[in-house]
Amino acid sequence: MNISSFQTEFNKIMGRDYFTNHVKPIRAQAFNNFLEEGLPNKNWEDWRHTDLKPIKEIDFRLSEISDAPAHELDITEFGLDDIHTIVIYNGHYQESMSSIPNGVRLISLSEYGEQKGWRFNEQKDSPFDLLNTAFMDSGFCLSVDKGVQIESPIRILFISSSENKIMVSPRVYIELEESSSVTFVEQHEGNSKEYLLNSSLIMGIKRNSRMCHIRIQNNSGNTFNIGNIHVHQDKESHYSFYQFAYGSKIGRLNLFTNLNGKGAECFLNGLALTCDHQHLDNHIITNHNAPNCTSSQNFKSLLNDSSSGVFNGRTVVSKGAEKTDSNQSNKNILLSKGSLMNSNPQLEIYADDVKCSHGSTTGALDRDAIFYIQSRGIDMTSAKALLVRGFVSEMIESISNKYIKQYVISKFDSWLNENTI
Amino acid sequence: MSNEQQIIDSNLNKEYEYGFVTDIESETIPPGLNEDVIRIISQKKDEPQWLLEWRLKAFRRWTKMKDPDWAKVKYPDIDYQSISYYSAPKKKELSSLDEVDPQLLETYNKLGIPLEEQKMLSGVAVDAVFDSVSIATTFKDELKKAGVIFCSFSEAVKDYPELVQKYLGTVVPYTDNYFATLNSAVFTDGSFVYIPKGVRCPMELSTYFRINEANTGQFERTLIIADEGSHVSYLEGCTAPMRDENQLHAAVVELVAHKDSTIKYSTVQNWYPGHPETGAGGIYNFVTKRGTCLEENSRISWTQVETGSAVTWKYPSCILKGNNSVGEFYSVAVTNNHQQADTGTKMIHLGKNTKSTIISKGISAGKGQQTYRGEVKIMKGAEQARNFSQCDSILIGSDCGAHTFPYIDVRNPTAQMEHEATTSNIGEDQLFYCNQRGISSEDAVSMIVNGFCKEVFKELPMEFAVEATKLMEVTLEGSVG
Repeated sequence: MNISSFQTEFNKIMGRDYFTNHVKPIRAQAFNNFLEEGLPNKNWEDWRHTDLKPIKEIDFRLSEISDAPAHELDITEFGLDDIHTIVIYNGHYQESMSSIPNGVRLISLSEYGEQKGWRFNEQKDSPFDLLNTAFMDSGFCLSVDKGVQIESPIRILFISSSENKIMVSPRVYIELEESSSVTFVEQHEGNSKEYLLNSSLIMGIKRNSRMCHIRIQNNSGNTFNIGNIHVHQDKESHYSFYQFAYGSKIGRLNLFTNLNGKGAECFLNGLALTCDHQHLDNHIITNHNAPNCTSSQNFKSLLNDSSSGVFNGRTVVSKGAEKTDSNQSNKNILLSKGSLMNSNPQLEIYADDVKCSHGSTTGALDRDAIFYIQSRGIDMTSAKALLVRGFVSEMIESISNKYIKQYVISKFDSWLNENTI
Repeated sequence: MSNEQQIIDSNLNKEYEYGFVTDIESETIPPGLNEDVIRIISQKKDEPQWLLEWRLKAFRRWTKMKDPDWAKVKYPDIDYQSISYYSAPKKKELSSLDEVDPQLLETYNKLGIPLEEQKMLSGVAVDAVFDSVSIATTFKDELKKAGVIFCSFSEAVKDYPELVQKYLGTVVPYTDNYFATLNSAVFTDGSFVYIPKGVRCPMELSTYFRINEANTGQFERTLIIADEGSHVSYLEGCTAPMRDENQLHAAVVELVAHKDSTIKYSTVQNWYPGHPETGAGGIYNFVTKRGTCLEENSRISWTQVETGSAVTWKYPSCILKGNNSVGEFYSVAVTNNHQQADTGTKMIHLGKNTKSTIISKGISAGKGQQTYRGEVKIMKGAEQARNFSQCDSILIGSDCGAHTFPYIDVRNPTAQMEHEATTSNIGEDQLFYCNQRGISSEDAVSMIVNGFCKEVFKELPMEFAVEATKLMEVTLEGSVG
């Protein structure tokens, strides 16, 4: 997608009259900012290991009304069928298939914009956030009121299914008022040809509230999934994030967490399973802006065939963010000769009373361990599977919701069955 | 902590002890950089045509290059036209120490490295580089007996042109990076070492660099070649006089290790770090150091103690080409006051069973900013490659920063690669523990920091370990109590 095709699509979206006029200057501003730098290339420090050439070569078009499903869909094929779900199909909100638990409010982006006086705190230096703002669709805001604990999880199901080359830019706001809690699942599914999904999720977690965010990325093998997540945390808030990514051709997660209030904590976890020519890039930035905060980044990858992976984690401890406790860990197993892993765990520290550490390992399965298991009468494949299972179990076991945990285990099992390791 | 704070404050105010300017007549080309200047340098040094052409190629390339901006250091733009690219003390070609300018010897005495004493006591051969031309070389005869060539670079160009031509630029090509290219165009002198087949160098080789002439950029070029089965340990140390304008130092060091050979390269760097309060006047240390383990079972080990300079930009690297070759990097870097350091290493694994170890210790105090930036690359053919990296930082005071940016790139599944890093301050509990056993805060901090650096110090040759501790006292202990 070159700049001129972006321009054509941009003119189209500016022409759509069902958006309120307030959005137009915001879009225009973002698009202009985007044009200044253009799409990232490998000379950009943050993108040096992810080649966006495949995206540049394809002309995507905006999703249209005709891309909405003609009739009601059966979403049970995507699993987790008992939980409350908001369905977004090719960028179109499917009201009839969606439900939300009591205590949660769902409003449209226009309504949310009215409430905020159309003053969004836009990201200016992130090209895909700018693109998202320029093209945002299927926007909504979920909010949980003060003191409300939502027991049952909520899922946002993004289905990307089309024969056409479509680009979709969902914009979601999630706001947790003081002392509330919620578990929320972001699931990407669908069977599509070339497809560009560029989502921006912006979360505000107020004082003493807790959010558990589980991201399941299972797009089809031709999809480009760019996920931008911005988390803003107040005093004593808690955010835990689990990503299970095994889909898409190029997957890039830009996760920015900002610990703005004293005593906030965030625990970020990710497991990437890649095969064929998949490329999954995790770009994780944690900003410690207040004292006494705790953070961890724990990302693991299993790479098979000719797949590649990137972990680019950065923890920034600002001046004055004393008593910070932060940890980064990145562990990768290369299962095949053609696989490649780039790991850049970074620490940027401007305060002195801190404890920060990071670790990174990359290697193959331990031959001694395989031999040990084999010598006890277990065949090679099972021995390897056993070791791989041990490697990922720490990730999966940490999900507290049993139902979701079961689902993730079943998905991992089927990945293991499909791949010879 | 207030006691410790007091100690820190009092020591932070300590001025640079080695700051002085030696007044010697020297021959200097007026500032400016163009092809003519390069021709003059080449002519003054009586260089062969091929070297002049190589310099000019580098210069033409350099004019098209841009100052690198990716490092986490800030400094005002350098006006390359205001630097004089050649300066040599006028008295040259001395056969014995007696002929050396007494003022010069005085300089060395102030630094605590008197040539005669070293000659007698430590058995270290010193190729003293004062500004850009080597003026005294000792122990040459002994080395000659062993067949070792240890001379200034310009001598090597005259006496061993075929060796220089064969190896110059093979590890750091003139196109490599902005500062290396600049160096290739204008380098004035440096050291040259060749260890023949099967020879174990009978002594530690040492060069003391010293920038003296005002406004003279120092462009050293060092080339060390260890032939099959040989062994050499090379020491490099620097101190510089105090002055107000920033000085640029863009050196290039190339190491070539042949089959079964070992090169150990140790550096203690204590250039003027700039005014303690304003940071003005310090040295810019933009150095390109790289070694190639060309053939199997070769080994290159870098050890550095970086205590000086206003801005340090330095990544001693190893290219592990030969099977079973080994690369090592041990570093202690200290930044205090306004010092900035962006330093680390690169280990490029190409051969089978190659191993690399990285131990980096950073200490940041005052307003110092320190970055570890390292790259470990394990290429497809590097079966069973092994890397272990550990990068720890200590922060002292709330205005300093410590950053760790490792780049890890693994393309071979049989490789094993581990990296770990920690950043923390000196715990109050640790200090308290020492205090209650009757150890003063000052001693406790110094003990903890020394323990922190021990892993690296033990890699230093004996002759250097003493100086390293001394320099740490000035820079590091001065800031931590």
